[in-house]
Amino acid sequence: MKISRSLLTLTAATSIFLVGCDKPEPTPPTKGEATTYAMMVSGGVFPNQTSYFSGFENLPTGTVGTENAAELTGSGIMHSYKGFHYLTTFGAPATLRKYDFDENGRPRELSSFVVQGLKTFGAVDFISDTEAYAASNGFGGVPKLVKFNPTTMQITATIDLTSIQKPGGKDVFYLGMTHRDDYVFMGVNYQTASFSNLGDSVYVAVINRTTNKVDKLIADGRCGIIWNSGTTSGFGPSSIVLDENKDIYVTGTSNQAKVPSGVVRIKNGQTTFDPDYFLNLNQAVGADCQGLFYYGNGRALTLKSEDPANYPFDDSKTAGYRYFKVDLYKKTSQGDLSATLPKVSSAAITTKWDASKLYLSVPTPTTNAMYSLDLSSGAINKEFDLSAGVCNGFVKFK
Amino acid sequence: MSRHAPKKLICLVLAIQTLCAVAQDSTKTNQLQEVVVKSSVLQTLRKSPLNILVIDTKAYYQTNLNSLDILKRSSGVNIRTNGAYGANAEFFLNGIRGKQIKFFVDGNPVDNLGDTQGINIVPIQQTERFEVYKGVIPIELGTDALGGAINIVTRRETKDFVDFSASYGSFNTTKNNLQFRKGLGEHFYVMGTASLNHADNDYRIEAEVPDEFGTVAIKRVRRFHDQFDFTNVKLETGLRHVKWADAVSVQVQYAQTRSDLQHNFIMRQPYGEASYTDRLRGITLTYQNFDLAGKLDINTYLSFNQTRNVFTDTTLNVYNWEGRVVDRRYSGGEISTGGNWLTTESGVFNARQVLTYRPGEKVKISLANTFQAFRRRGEDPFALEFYGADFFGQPQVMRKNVAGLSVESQWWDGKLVNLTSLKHFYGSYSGNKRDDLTFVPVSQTIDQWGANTAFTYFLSQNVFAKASYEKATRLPDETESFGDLRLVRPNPALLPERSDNVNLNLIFRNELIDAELSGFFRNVENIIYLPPAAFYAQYLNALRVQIRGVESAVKIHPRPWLDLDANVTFQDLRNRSLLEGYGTNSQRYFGARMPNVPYLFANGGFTARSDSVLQKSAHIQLYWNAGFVHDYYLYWAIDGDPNLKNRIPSQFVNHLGASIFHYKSGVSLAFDVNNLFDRRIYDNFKVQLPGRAYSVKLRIYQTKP
Repeated sequence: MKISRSLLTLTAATSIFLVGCDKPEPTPPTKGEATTYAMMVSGGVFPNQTSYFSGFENLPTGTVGTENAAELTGSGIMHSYKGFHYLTTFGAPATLRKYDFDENGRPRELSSFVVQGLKTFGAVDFISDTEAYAASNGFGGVPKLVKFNPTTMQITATIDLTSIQKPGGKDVFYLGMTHRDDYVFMGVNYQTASFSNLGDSVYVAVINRTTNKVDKLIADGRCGIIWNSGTTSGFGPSSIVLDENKDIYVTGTSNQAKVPSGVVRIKNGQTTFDPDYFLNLNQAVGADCQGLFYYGNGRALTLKSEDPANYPFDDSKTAGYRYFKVDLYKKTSQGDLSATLPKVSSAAITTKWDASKLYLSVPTPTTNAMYSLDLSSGAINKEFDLSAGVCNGFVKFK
Repeated sequence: MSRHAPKKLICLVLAIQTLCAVAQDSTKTNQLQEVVVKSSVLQTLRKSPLNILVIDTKAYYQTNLNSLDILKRSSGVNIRTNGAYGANAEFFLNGIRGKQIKFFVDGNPVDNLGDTQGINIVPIQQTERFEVYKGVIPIELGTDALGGAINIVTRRETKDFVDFSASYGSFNTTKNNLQFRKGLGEHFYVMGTASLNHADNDYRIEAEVPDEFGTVAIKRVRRFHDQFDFTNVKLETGLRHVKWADAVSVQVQYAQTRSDLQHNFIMRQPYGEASYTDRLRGITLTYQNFDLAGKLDINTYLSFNQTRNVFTDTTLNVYNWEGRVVDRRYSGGEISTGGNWLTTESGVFNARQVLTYRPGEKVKISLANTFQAFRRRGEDPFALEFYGADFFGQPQVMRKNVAGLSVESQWWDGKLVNLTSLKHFYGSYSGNKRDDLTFVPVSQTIDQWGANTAFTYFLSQNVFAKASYEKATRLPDETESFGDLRLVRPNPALLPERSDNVNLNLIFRNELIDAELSGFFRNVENIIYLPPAAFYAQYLNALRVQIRGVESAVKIHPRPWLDLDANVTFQDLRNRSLLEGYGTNSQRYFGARMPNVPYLFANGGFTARSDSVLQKSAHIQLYWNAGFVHDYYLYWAIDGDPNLKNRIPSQFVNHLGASIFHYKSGVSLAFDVNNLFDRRIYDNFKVQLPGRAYSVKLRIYQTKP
């Protein structure tokens, strides 16, 4: 019995010690007003890379780190709309999270929605405080477009995309969105099982916002495929942009000698491609291009490829692109944005919140920085460096 | 100096060492025997110059503990699992991890033999001990491990016995294991083992369940698709102590596992139908002859195994965490883009010969060669339909040979023992790479030299010190070299991983205390990794890591009825890579601690026993163990607000058990509680492990002298 008492005492003492090791619950933060800028960057080196989201009171200067950032899980995309920020990271189930900042400037997740069966969200297009659309990327998911209320972050409808599936299109990507009138225009990219283009055409699904159904799928074979997923609330290069005249410009990549990279148009009030408009980017710029960064009055930047082996795939090891200016109205190029800028990877972004400046990221294999383009003088200035990694989104939201 | 100079130097050292040791041998044999006391196999291994941890598993036969429970209590060992019984386990051994650690059964490699031979499911009653090698790997374990190996030594009783156990526990876990040996005459014997184990693994977790609006509710649900089955039958017959052999045996085995696959890496996407089965059929021949002419041991092993595994991922259903179908996919499977119904068949031939020659009492020369031939071919009708080609129908062939020569010698009246080895690694791979829908043959040949040396110095009867160094090599495997024929492209130029491994140990032993303090250093380069890519990826060599650590273990025997033990390990893995080309400033992470690797962990416990219960007819024991793992970051510490970073939280897991064994009947009964305080614990980020779990075990052991 002596043994039993000893054992009992030892066990009891240990139990009491262990039970007392709970940590206190954190206090929930409150909303603050000081944060004016929001930014998402990637950070880390493989195999441990992820995304960081942080806020700033003033336009950052010097070298910007991630010390005040929320750490997400995996590579991500950022969209911003009316002072809130919508983040999604790669990986199933597709999840869109809405953020703002607390009184200490710390990112704060407000709400989110999740769709089982979708692997990740790509393009998100906001129409109003109560209507927005989130497109999932392919990889064998459920073919649907999610319509949601960005205020409540609740799904309000789903649009069945079964009708735009194509025989032989094993991987289908929904890339780039814009809206006009009663329609959402969504780019569609079809890949075969061996990951080659199913057809050398840009495809755009025309979706009726009232019926929540696909009206039709339109195609134009004058240029190659839809490649970029940006929207007006996003920051990356876009395949579909809407100008002040409510004309929609759609850009496609080249497919070697078969078809050039170029821009086609859907005119205001139409839901078909304009046969009279075509900007041959290969001719205008002198090489394959991808994506448009539209900044008003027909002006846009595109990424001109100087490394054919990495086009349109881009492993970001070899920054193979240069920012080139194009005029969508004149169907011409105004040349290299700046000879002083280094070549960039296709992870480049631009952002604009007033009429005077366009901010553009310069991601290279070893450095990342944010520059500004003075829209009146054309002057380029370096604003700040990024110590962690590629900038995926940057916005002044107040 | 030519590139062959280091090999020549090592050969010279081996030769001189042999000659010198043999020369002194003739005069000092008697003094040597005074110092090196004859001891058990365990103590012999412990005193060998290798940095080896030996775990005697016999003490655990009556308990419900499994091999992972036992191994993860050891210093320097950390194991991460993503579920309950049958779940995959990733080992960390002095900072080395994953494929860099190799596993063996009775000294024979189990590479490429599939899940049925996994250490995570081996019944503990079928083992005699675990040998955990950290740093230097002896040539007898012919492998290309980078600095860690675990050898399971199976139970080899020489008397007749029957050992049957049946256990039942939480999550409908049943484990039935039978083992027997029967001698037929003076030399002939048969023995066998059989296992029939099952678990539902339906433990409760807190999971995100979105409603029709996508709004997530955190609900406490049961895992609903995580069943695991393990069936194993092994029969052996052989002869012992005949004129021409000390042991010769033939063994046949049939084993099968079936696993449901429940979720993705971070447990957010549940799967409801995907599964994996693995089957093995094998035959093994062994021949051992010791003390030929009093000086030569021969140990030969031959085996051929056929494995057949089936990965099924064919459903279009989308499941939520409540186990309900909430949607239908247009194509593909739950896990893979195109879906899979992949059957893979492999043939694995292993041959191992070890010759040990003892020219005198103080020197032992060993020559070992381990050869493995592996051929795999698959068939996937789903892939054929989806892709228009069956990528898995292309055969992959690998041949690997590891040869080693070692000399073990004793000096200064046996106070110093040295083991020096030279190894040669050879790998030959052939397969196909995919060029759109056509296949192009590719092949690769690698050969590499390695060497190690290890010392034990006996400071006194109770204190000894060890030091060892190895230049270790791990060859790329077939997936790393040839890709997966889908999204991972081949890289025939891949180099072997290399590591400089240094270990220092100081050991004190007496009747009351057994204590060990160890330090280790690893400089690992050419680490093979798969960088992120939007579509096609390719394994590359680029990462470098430096590992430094200390570990300490102590066992105290303060009373005849009480054993106390504790250990603690601190390992510091630092990035030494300067990767360019991924949009990051690598200098920022140079020298930073590697994330997502536990760096501080400890264990402690006691065992108390009494031999005088039930009028001295039974033996009772009570055992408790607590394991602690310090929290650690999922990503680099330098990034992010510390309050907003992802981390794997600290673990403090307690296990309590009791058993009673009745001598006369040979019946024992054990009751165990794992995760005693029902803590929510994680080994991998957000992947919840079981809460409190109970199990009861009945064992009947009968033996005949």
